[in-house]
This record gives sequence, C-alpha cells and structure tokens, in this order.
Amino acid sequence: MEKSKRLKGKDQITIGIFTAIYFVASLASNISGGLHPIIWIMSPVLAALLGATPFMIMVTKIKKPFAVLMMGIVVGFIYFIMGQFPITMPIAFVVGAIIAEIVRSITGYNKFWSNALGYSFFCLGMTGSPLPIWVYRESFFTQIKEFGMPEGYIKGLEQLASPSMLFIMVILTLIAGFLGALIAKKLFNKHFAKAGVV
Amino acid sequence: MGIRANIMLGRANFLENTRGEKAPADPRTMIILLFMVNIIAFSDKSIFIELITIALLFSLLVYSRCTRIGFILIGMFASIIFLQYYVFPNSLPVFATIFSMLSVYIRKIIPSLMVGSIIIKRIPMSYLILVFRKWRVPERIITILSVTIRYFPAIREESTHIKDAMKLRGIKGFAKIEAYTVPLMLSAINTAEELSAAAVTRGIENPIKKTSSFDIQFSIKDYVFIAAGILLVISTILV
Repeated sequence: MEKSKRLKGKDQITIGIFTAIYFVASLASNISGGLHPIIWIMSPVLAALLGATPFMIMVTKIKKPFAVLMMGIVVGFIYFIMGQFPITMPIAFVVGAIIAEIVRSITGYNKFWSNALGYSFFCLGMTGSPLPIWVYRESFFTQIKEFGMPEGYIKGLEQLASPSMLFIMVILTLIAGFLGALIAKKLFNKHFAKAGVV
Repeated sequence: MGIRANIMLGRANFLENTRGEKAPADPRTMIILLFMVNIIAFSDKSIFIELITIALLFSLLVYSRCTRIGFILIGMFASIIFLQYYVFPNSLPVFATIFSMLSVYIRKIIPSLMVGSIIIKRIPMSYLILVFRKWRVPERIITILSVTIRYFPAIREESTHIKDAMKLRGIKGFAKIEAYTVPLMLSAINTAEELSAAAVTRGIENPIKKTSSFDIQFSIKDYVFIAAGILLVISTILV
C-alpha cells in the first residue's frame, strides 16, 4: 500500500470521534426497538437514517481504505463488551463493513455515490440486533412453546419471524442507508460546505 | 430491550469506571466469560442450568461490588419468568403474541448483560487497552477504540448545551433533528483537529512499541472463574 493511503494518527482520531457519534445514533434506534417487536425488527432502518451524517463526514474527511472497516470493528466490539447484544451484532458489523470496503475499493473513495453505496452496506451491521430471531429461531420457539401458549399464537409469531420478513428488513435497511446518505449530502451543502469544513 | 436497564442506571458511559480501585478479576477473564455466557444462553435448553448460571453470575456481581445492578437484573429475570409462565398463557392473545418474542430475547441476554455491567463499571479502560496490546490487536484499532470510548461523555455534554440552545430559540418538530445534528458534527470536526494536533505532538505516530505503567496477571480466582465457566458450557452441551 502507498504510504499516503495509510491511516495516520490524525485519521485514527477522526474515525474514533465519528464512530462515537454513529454509535450513539445506532444505540438510540436500538433502544426504541423495545417499544414493539415490529419497531425492533425495523430498528436497522432507523439507525441507517440517523447514523448517515457522521458516517458520511468521516468518509469525506478520510478518503482512505480500511477507515470503514475500523469503524465497523470498533462499533461491533463496543456492543459486544456491553453485553447487551448477542454475538450476532459484532459479526454482522464486521461483515457489513467488509462489504462496504469492497464496494468502496471498486467504485473509488472520492465519489459521493460510492460512499453512499458503501454506507448502505455498512448499515447491515445493525441487523445483528434482531438477527437472533432467525438465527436462533428454533431455540426461540421451543422456549415459547414451553410457556404453554396455544398453537394460534405461535403461528402468528412464526409469520413475524419468517424468512420473507428477514428479506424485507435487509432490503429496507439498504434503501434507508442510501436515503440517509442523500439527506446527509443535503445537510453538507446547506451547512458544512459554507463553513468550509468538509 | 435489555439496554434500558443500563440507561436507567445512568451507567451507559464507560468513563464511570473506578480508577485506582482494584478490578474484580483480570480483564481477560471477563472477556472469556462473556464469550462463554453467550454460548450458554443461546444453546441452553434446560431451565436448571439457566438458573445456576444466573445465580453464579449474581454472586460474581456481588463480589465485584455491583450489588445494585445485580438485584435489578435478577428482578428483571424473575419478572420475565413470571410473565412467561403465568401472565402470557392467560392474557389477551394480542398482548402475548407481541411480547413473548421480546421476552425470550431479553431473558437470553440477561446473563451477558450481567458480565457486561461488570466490565463497564469495574474494569478501567487502560486495563482493556493493555489486554488488547497483549493480544496483539493492531495499534490503530486500539487508538480508535480508546478515542471513541472517551468521546462519549463529550457527546453527552455537547447535547445538553444544544438542547438548552434549542429551548432558548424555541425550535420545534422536525427542525430539531437538523438543529441537533449540525452543531454536534461541527464541534466533532473541531475536536478531531485539536485532538490530533495534541496527540501527534505527544508521539502518537511513533512506531515504537508502546508500554504501560502497570501489568496484569492471572491469579487463582481467574482460573476458578474460567473453570466454572467451562463446566457450565460443557454441561449445557451435554444436556
């Protein structure tokens, strides 16, 4: 790798700060998932919209490879160490960040479109929060049956946890990521470009 | 979701670690335990092992002087069990369908929540950094992680200022999101500039291996904790 493409001390600090802001945004959408299971399943979508601005500023400031991967690893690790989320969370974040890095390396680090596309894949990391519904599907349902719930309820639940629901969640998250990046661009043009910071 | 408990306790940030006080165990032990607890929770099928795990973790919480959180989490666990076995089967279908899934999830993450609270409350960040160095985690990731964790209190402070300013100006509705994001980002950009200048002056880009002023070592209690964890994992797999 060329020397100028390496992440220097300044880049590391910038990544660290915007990772913190992204983390707070994603945590907020995660907490709101406690209100209702549907909101829980859709919390990655909300996170994709809220977290776009810090992410987009980060990638505009640091046009280098691996910046996004670092962000994904750190966010996933903090979720893991807090103990509030199962192991699916860090795995999903790392996988999402790797896909985002691949997309960025193919389409280029300078363009808005490539970063926006990268962001929508990065957002898949947040799907790690409701992912246990599908990954541990059997374990979930054996436990629920243990409570002595009638068959009808379990059928309703199985619909909620169907593979098509997973598909909808992933697609909506990708779309919301791109939309979030567009909103972030609007904010850039309105505020940050004038201030000359981005 | 489980995370609410921590928010309610106001312990969502990592800086409230007790510096200088002795950590309850080696940080490595706690991270290994966190992995084990995850395995137990998501492969567990007998309530007996679940109860033993919860009881052992509760005593670990008490040992780590996190008694209050321990009682809150035990209370959460007990009320979820009560809901699942007595309230849901006898309640309105709508209510039961909606919350049974979430309750199973929370019940499964309570053990890791217990270990996580100990790490967040009782293991100082500098100890964790030392662990990562020992595990040969790339120095870049360590720097980013420590900046991230130390920036959380700054976000909190900044957001109270922004909220006050919004109240003064009477900003309402959707404009709030914009009025909230922009100053937060601008201050973050400035902080990044200032912090990097300071860090570069202090030699963050020095390629020499970094040292620490203290050392961590496994003691007998660490081996005891890990042995107990291994026993539980094996019994979960066998049952």
